[in-house]
Order: sequence, then structure tokens, then C-alpha cells
Amino acid sequence: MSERRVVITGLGVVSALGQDRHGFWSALTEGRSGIQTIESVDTENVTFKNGAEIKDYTPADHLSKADQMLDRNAQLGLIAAREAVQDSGLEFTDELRQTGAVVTGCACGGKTTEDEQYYKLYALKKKRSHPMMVPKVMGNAGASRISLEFGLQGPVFNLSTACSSSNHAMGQAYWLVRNGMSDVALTGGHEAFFCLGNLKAWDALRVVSPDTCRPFSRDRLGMVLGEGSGMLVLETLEHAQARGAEIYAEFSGFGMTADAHHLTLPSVDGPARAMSSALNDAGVDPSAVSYINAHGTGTPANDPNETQAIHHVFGEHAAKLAVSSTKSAHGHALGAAGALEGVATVLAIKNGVLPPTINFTEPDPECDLDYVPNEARDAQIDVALSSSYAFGGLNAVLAFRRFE
Amino acid sequence: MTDHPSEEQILAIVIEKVAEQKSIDASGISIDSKFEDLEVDSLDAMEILFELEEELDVDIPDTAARSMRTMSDVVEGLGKLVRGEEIVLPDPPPVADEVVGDPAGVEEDESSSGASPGAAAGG
Repeated sequence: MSERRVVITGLGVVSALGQDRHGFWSALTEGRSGIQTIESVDTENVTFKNGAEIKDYTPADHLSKADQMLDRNAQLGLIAAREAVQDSGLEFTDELRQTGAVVTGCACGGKTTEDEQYYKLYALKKKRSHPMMVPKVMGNAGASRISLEFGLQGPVFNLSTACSSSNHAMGQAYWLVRNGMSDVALTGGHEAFFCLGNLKAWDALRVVSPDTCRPFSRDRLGMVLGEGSGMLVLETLEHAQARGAEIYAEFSGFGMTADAHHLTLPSVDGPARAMSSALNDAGVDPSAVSYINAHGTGTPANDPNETQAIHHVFGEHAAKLAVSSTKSAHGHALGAAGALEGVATVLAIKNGVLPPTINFTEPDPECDLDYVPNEARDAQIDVALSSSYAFGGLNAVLAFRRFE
Repeated sequence: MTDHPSEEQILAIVIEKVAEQKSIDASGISIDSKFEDLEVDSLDAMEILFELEEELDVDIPDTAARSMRTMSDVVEGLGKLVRGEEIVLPDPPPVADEVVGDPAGVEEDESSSGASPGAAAGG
């Protein structure tokens, strides 16, 4: 079977930066941050107080009573998926539905529901759990609800690989469409995990910044947690052109590697091989790349490591690359991180604008690339990468190309 | 022992919970209503029974829960439980052909066959 070209024709976003793709992109390019004081959890006993929470979100404004029973993470996924499909203008025929795919990234599942229900059992000594607890907290709740929404009956699954979940998911969806398993795929990720139990777990890892997220900046103090969902509609170029769809960008490569090195410390080799693998898969030379949406967590360990990996892959061309971390604005949404960043990368290509790394105050000798500090910049982007490097040493990189 | 709720009181509570779950007017629900007619599917029924267990502080056994398909089944069963009596099932519950499928398929599977909560999950 010959490989088919795959394009992106629809985008949907719910994030701390805005509850649709327009709000998300405006905030990113205007350099606004979604990082604020955490309101949904009492953080009195948590070291950090800030997060990229979605404020002013009322489920009843978006969802039926039955769908309001979904855990928040799956609610966000469903809302973003609806926006992406509407944006694409795609109408699902029975034939499309038969092989239609939904591949999501969600690492945390229904953490907030679990936290609430376990509290009732352990602390309040309640005798019973809610009967919808099991289907509510399963990691594939979002993927399954989205498949029901559009009647998609092909490959439907969720991937959980910590911070790389969404990139692994989008890469798989891309390959499914490219290889002919599915003609259309809805893919991305969704995550919502703000609850005391989980915040305390992150607190204990000592990687969360006490104030804000300053990727690649010398004074960076760590990551800031975020929540949200990003969803993309993928289809074959042929199908998109036949129906006259607007094309955001071409999905052109996917690479994944494992460090096999350390559970939480990153390696240079694993990320470097993942970038090279994505470029090989896309059939493009490193010199063709003009932008990388970095993993860029803002932790002391990640940012110099990722910078070294980029030098390793791009050599002299690294000096010409624009590299930004949009986590500085939308926070680190863990399993949904790659989805938000994928949407940001695709919009960057489509609009010819580099989203900045905000909160950047001071260059670090160990981080010596062009990080697009603080202000968006116009630039034609022919090929871009979007990188995710997860705890557990799992690396997943996507390649997108401008479509003319 | 007269401090447990009467069947009239139980009926009022059941009507309230069903109306809440289905977002329908309580006036359309009576002791003669069947879950099927109220479009209460098996997942709805599980949640309603959960709310009733919480409210009345009783545990409805799984076998009894599966046999509850009408308002009168529920009210009668709860009446026994609040009085500390056992629910005696007249016949084996007709679940053999229903404990199939998965939660997602419930609504379609059961639109014509009523809504016993035991049929809600196929694992």
C-alpha cells in the first residue's frame, strides 16, 4: 500500500489561554499567560500556588446533563473535538465512520473524580462509591465519548505515556491515515488533574516553580502545571482537496524513541534520536526546519538538555532555528501538552507567526538558541517540529510542513 | 418500630430522584410508571439506586437491583429494606440475554427491553 499524504483541516482547543482556538492563538501571540492562582484546590498545604487552570468554565454552557457526568478531562476533550470537527467542515458519511479513528493522549485519567471519591471513602467513611466511577475515571473515557459523538468505528484508543501521551497519540493517528487504515482521524489529547492528591504528588517531586514558568531563561525555577485539550482533524490530502477543505498544514513525520537511561532525568541521545527519526519519517533535511515548539518545561534539567539535543541534530543550522516553549503560557498539561503545542505549531505555520517563550528574563549560557523571547515574530515556517519528552524517558516528536 | 419511612414517603423520594436524574417533571411519574416508559436506561437506574441507597441508608443487593424495572418494584423493595426485611425474588432475574455489550451500547440495547441496572456493564 502506498503512503498517502495527510493534512490537518480542523482544530479545537480548550485551555487556560482561551476556550477555543481563536482565544488560544490570540493569547499566545500577544504574549499573555494563562498562569494564575489555583482556585479549584485549596493550596494551603502545597508549596506552589499557581497553575494554568481554565477559569470561567461552566460545564452546563457546553454539555448536556449526561455529558456533565463525564470527568472534567473528558469534558474538555469532547468540547475540543466538537470544535475541531466543526472547524473542518467535515461531514461523516457511513463509509468514513467505518474506519474513522480517534486517538487521544491522556495520562492522568479521572484523577479529580478519584480524589473526590476516595476522600469520601477514606475520610468521610462513606459506604459506597458512585456507580459511574469506573467509566468516569478510565483513561479512554474521552476517546470513547468522542467516538460515540461522531459514530467513528475504526481504531479508537487512548495512549498514556506521561508528558508524551498526545504526541504519541497524534503520531499514531497520522500513521493510521497515512497507511490507509483510516481515512479520517480525530486526534490530540485532554487532561484535567487539579486536585489536592495530585498537586501534592507534584509538589513532592520538587519540579514545580513557586511562581511562573520561564523556559530557557537563566532564572527558571521549574514547570507550572496546566490543563486543557487540543484536538486536530486529520484526513488524506486527496479527501481534503476533493471536498474543498481549508488546509492548515501537512502532517509530515513522526519519530519516537526511549532513553532507557533514567526514570525522571532526561538524556540528550533519546530526544536527539526522536527528532532525527521524525525528520527521516518526513523525508526532510534538518536544514529545512525553521521552528521547533520545544518540550521546554522550564525545569533546570530539561532546558539545557533539550538545547544540547537540538545542537546535536541540527549542527550549525541550530543557530538559525527559532525554538519556543508555549508551556510558558498554557502551562504543562502533561498528557495534553503535545496536543496544545501541536495546535500552536500548526497555527504558527498557517499564520506565519512564531509564538514566543514568555516570562523570559535572562539568557542562560547553557541555553544558547533563539527562544523567541517574549514577543511573537512573523516568519515563514516551511517545516516545524513539536517535541515531547516524558518522564520515563519516552520521546515523541512530530513534523509538520507548510501546505501551499 | 414506626420510625422508618412509609411507602408513600419512599414513593415521593423515588419520584424525586427519577425526576432529577432524567430532568423531567415529577408530576409525570407515578407508582405505575415503568422505567422503560420514563426512558430510564440501565446507567440511569444505577445512579438512581445509588442516590436512593445514600438517602435511605440501605444496601440494595445486586440481584434485587437487576429485577427492579418499575416504580412499584423499587418502592416495594425499598420498603422491605428499610423495615429490615429481605427482598425475595419470585423468579430468577431475566438477565441472561442482557449482560452483554458494554456501557456505551446500553441505551440502544435496552430501548425495548427495560432497564435493569445489572445489565449496564460488560466489563
